[in-house]
Amino acid sequence: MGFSTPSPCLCFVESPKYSFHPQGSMFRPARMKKIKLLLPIEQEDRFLREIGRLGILQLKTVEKRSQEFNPDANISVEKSNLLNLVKRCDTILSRLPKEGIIVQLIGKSDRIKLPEEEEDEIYNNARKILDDAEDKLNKWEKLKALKLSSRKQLSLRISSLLKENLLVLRSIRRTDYLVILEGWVKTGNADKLIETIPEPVKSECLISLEESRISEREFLKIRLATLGQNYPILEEALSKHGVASFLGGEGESLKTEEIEDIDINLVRRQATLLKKVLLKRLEVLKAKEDIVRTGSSAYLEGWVKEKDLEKLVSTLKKNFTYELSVEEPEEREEPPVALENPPIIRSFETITLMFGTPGYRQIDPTPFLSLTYAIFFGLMFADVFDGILLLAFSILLYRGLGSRSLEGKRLSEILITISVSSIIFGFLTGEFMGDAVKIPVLWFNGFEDPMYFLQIAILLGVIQLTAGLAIGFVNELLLKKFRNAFGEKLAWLMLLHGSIIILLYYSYFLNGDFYLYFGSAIAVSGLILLTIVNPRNLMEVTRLVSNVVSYARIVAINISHAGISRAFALLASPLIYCGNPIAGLLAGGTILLVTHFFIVFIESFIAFAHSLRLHFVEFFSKFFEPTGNVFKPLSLAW
Amino acid sequence: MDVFTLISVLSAIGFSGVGSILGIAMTASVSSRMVAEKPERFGLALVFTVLAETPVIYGLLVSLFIIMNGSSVNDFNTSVSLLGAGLSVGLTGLFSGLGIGFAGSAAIGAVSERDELFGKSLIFTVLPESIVIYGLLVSIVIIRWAGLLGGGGLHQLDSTSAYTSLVSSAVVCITGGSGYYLGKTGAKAISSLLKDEDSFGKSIVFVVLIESIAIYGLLVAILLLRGVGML
Repeated sequence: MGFSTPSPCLCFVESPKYSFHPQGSMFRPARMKKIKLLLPIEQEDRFLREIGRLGILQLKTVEKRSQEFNPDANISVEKSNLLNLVKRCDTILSRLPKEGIIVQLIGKSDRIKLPEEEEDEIYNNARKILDDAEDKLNKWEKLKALKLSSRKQLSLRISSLLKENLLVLRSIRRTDYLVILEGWVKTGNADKLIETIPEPVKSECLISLEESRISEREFLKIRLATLGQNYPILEEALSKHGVASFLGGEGESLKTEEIEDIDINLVRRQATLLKKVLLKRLEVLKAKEDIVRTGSSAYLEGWVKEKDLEKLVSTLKKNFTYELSVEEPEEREEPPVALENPPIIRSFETITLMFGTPGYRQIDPTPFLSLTYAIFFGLMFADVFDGILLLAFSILLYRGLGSRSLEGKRLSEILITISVSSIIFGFLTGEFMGDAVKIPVLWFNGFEDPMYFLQIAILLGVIQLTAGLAIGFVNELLLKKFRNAFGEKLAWLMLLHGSIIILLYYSYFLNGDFYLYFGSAIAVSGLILLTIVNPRNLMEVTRLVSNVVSYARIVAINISHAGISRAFALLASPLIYCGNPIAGLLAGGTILLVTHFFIVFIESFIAFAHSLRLHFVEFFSKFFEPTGNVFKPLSLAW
Repeated sequence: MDVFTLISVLSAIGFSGVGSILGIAMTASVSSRMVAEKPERFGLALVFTVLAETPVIYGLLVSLFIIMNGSSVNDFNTSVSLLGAGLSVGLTGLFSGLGIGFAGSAAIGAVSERDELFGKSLIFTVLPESIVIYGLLVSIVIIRWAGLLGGGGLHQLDSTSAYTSLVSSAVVCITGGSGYYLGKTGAKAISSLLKDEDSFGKSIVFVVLIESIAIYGLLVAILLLRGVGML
């Protein structure tokens, strides 16, 4: 019994009855319970905050049966206010200068954790913070414009001076022996200037020309150093063609930008933080819309994972007056789907969810997928060295991107898993930078023996298709669609394996006529079953063939990887064996390293994409019907 | 090296090169426009542009094999076989590059609006890329049979294997024409993803129907090659 001292205003909804079933297994989504909860209205906000910090409850919109259950009118007003504030945050963030791409990818982590009091403070001061940020941003933009315009003015002045004069002097510095002139010259006139210097002086002059920061097209920055004794001659020669002095120069007129430096990163941080806080409040408001209220009590319905139920109840017991009823989902209801897998393969849920969410009563294909995905990628990208490079890159990504977003973390975890797999398959197939480094072949080498490899690939394909059809069979059984289970999935399985037995008989792997009859019997009965259930299936028989042949791509991609590595190794080998062992190894090693960076970049991507394709097109099409909705609990945790 | 071997090098790198040029031109022009608006999506745009480069890499691979190990090829049958190998990867590379261009530029457009569409639009872009992989597979079988790959020196080929390689590469090339239309339909499917993300599972069925033609071609080519013992 899960209620404590009900206050007089609360009525019984249903006697709370719940028992703990064994957890939904690895291959099924987490078991869900429907809860119905009645609370005094003044505890509603506190409940949402506490349960939101746990992140275990997804609210369900309560059907409003009576006029009494009016939604709180304040909520919609508050919501639109909040949305306006979020919009202001977005505008500020969009006005800020963009961060570099590398910073975005690998960059620094900006994960912030705030205690609740500070969160409240930020929320209460939201308008002030926004005003402040906008003010700072305006100032910053003005300064930027000023900086640009002062540069423009400077450039205009120099150009006008250069129209009449050959050289505009910025500074003259003298030491005991040397004179150094600095200034600007028109881009076309640089040669003319050098020509005007008289011959004996020219040989004792050092001249450097570089692009000016102010206007790189119109004029160049010139530096001219010569001995002190030459200066009078130089001055005379130059003044014949006109020299204007512009002492003070580039640095001074641009100084305004340093008057008040605004920390634009602080503005960015504040706006990002505020936006996060506001979005959390918005979550709470959205949750509140799902709740119905009478004068004194609030009623809500929601989904909670069975294993989290205890947490919910203990939270309720500690601080709230409540009435709770826990129910099993009804047959016609579709509870939200939370995939639950062991930590090592949890990241592969991303790939499953990329295709769609499996239904609540269906099988979660992630465990199968994570195994075959790693194997296929490893086979396509089998190379010890490239695997290590990819692993290093993934770890870098994990530390950068992974600390910023869950998606980034999941992606880099997938990359780490599959790069380990490619190292393993690199050892099995004896590939280390192609054949640049000889290591023993533990299983077979795809490049030397592609025909054996082709058989392995097709075998893997048949195994995966079988698994897909078997999962489909179980799925249909779970949904109690027996006609589909036996008439489609099982029939496809029979057709596939019957034909394989016939094929093996004809390629002399199986001896004895028994196999021919056995195979034909299975295949033909499968085909008949398929035709009876749905004649359209006949058209899809060829698709089964194309599904199997499609796995040959594993061989082609592996060999292209190995081939490119060998070609680059051939390029580097004359350098390595050039006679000088140290220089040769250094030069050849550099070439190998650079080329392998290129290989890792391109080939890993191809292998990744084609593994994805094999799963989405060949594997998932056999059973996956994305009918579910993802479980999105109210989550206010940082 | 006789004239057919040289032509095989030319067709391997030339045709696939043209395919890649067209593919990259299409994707890169969309990418550069998108990156100007949303610089943070640079990495995603790069992915699709690089994908268009893969045909020429495969073409390069085959021509490198022929150049490195085929310098002493002088007999007619071997060089005709090699011509098949070069044509097979070259022409499929051409169609594939075009297809990636169409699908990839649509994918970049979709990703620029909603980056969670990346995985799904990637699948539609990889479909035309498969075509060149089928061509590469046939090329590798032929090159290996001629002894240019896997050590063991050059083989003396008979006229049967020469003509079979030519025909099987023609089969893969002709059915590989589906790469062009794979790209076009893929682009349509990607734009329909923007309207309704759940259409993925159904539209992929239609697009894969086109690709299965190329797979039948590959199957026939493999069976042909196996029939004369080359595989």
